[in-house]
Amino acid sequence: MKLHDDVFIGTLLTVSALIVLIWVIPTQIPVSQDETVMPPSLMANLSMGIVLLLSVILGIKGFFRQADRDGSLLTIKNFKSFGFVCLSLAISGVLIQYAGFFYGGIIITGGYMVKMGERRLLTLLSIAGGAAGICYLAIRMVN
Amino acid sequence: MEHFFPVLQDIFAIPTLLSLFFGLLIGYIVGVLPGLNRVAALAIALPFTYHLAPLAGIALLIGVSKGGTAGGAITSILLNTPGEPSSAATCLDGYPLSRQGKSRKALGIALYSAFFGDFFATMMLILLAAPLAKVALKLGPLEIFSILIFSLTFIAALSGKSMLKGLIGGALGIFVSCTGLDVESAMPRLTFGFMQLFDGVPMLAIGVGILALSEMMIQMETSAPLPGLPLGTPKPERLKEEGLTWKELIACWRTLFRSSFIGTIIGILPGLGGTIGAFLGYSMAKRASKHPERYGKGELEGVAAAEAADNAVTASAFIPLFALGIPGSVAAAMLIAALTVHGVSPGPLMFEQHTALVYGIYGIFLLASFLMLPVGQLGLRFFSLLTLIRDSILCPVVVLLCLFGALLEGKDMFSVWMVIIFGILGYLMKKMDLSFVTFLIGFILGPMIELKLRQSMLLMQGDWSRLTDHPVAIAFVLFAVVAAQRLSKVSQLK
Repeated sequence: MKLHDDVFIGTLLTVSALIVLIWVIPTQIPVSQDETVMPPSLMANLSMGIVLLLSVILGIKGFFRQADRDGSLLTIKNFKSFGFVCLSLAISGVLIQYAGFFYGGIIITGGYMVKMGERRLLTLLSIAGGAAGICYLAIRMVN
Repeated sequence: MEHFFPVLQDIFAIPTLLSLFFGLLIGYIVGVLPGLNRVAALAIALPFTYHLAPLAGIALLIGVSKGGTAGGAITSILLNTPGEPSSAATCLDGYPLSRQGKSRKALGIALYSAFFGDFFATMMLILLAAPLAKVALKLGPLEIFSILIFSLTFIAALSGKSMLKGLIGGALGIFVSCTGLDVESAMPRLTFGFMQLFDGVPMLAIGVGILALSEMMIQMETSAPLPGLPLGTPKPERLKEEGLTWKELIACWRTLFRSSFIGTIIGILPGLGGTIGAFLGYSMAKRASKHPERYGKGELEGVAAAEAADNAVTASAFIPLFALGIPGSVAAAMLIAALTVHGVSPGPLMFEQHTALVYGIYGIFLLASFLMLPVGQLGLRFFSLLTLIRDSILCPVVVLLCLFGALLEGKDMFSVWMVIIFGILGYLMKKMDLSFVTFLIGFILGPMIELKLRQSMLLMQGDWSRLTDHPVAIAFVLFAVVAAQRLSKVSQLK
């Protein structure tokens, strides 16, 4: 039986909310010794509690719904796309950090242009170089 | 009156006028490009406002917002492709008109209707915001807390395909807003040891990451290389045909007033948005027409109805922001971010604390309405050529602009990494259909919700029977429950 995407989304959010409630909030928000003030974790616990509750409802509702006709979220194509997004953005960050904005910018813009099917060398060089150059000059001027 | 001349000086200062002009120009360009939306453009423009004077920065954002809404009509009419989702209703009669060789007439009526709708709603903003703010000042923390919850629920019910996902987005936004020093105890919360997070997660990281960067990543997946303009696209010389006449424009006056009024009401209600406003304005015009059979086949009034309503929504969405501090749209949320950077908290107190700035913003709104006409008129031929820009050039350049904006604002790599993290989070949210609109508005309203909740709890002192002393608060909580139940059907209509 194919399950509706909401089951997976609900489960993922439920697990994430539990981790945040059990581990992240207690370790990241200290308990105040002053009893006259409200606990600093009040709003974080409340909002994450709401996320937990709604995620459980979302998962349960999804269980009784028919699977989406447009196709499931959990496909190899979607995982690959997500992997590409994470990897390409991480590489972009590393490039800017270590190669600098100008050279990093040229590689990032050019790389994405090639990924999107642009093959004309002159266009690649002029757009990537031009965009990175203008941005770099603006950063130099402001800073 | 004491503020009149200094405000005029501020409005007509060269940097403010230039910001407004470039904002409108950028907005029009973004509105024309189907691959880029107004929200992403606002996010990218945000870091630039930090380096401008408050009014000039706000002028830039207002320009982008208004220009983007008006510009969306151009591709709807010429290519049957809405540049903005809210321009979809304009396609219904705009494209048939274009096919009949009346694209100049269609573009003309779209431009003047956009101006009229925008001007009408701006006047409503000026007339209604201050009296509403006076009422808001009389409300206690419990009442304001319940209004905030009502607004968030309302937006959640209407902003996405599923109300549950909308509410989850809002709650996640509130959770992220908890980052930083606690207002009462001054203890660091959710900072993971990063000093840069002591002031909270920067609005820019969320705006640029979730609205712009993630959108570009999705565009890269879905876009195909453009082989050229679609069949039937008018070449620039076709725009030499006969334009709109005054007689034709004046004949639409009833439709213009009706649609502008509808758009204004839709805009005041948080979360409904331009798409509903435009379709509602269009359907009401069709219903009121003596010739409803002409609609959908190239009726000028159809274009006028959709455009006037859509543009009225954009301007009137600022009414709840000015009166209550509640952003009625993403554009209003961006304005909050720009104002906050300059030490101004939007809301009812703004009228007392920053009177000159409020009048300045009103002036900018009005000036933007009038500047829309020459910018739209002069740039018509140029804007229609912009559709030739390929996504393979547009998307990578916008990605670079997102990273550039982060570096410009934060001046260090921490901001860049934050934008990247929120870009990935935004991508995941969009894939899972979780509402990023409610996330953003939850994030912005989070600190106010927390403050009002704490004040309300102190006020109640654990005695829930005191709730009966606050009927307005009870009414808004009940409205929130009813809205949650009833309005999820409207979101499906969207």
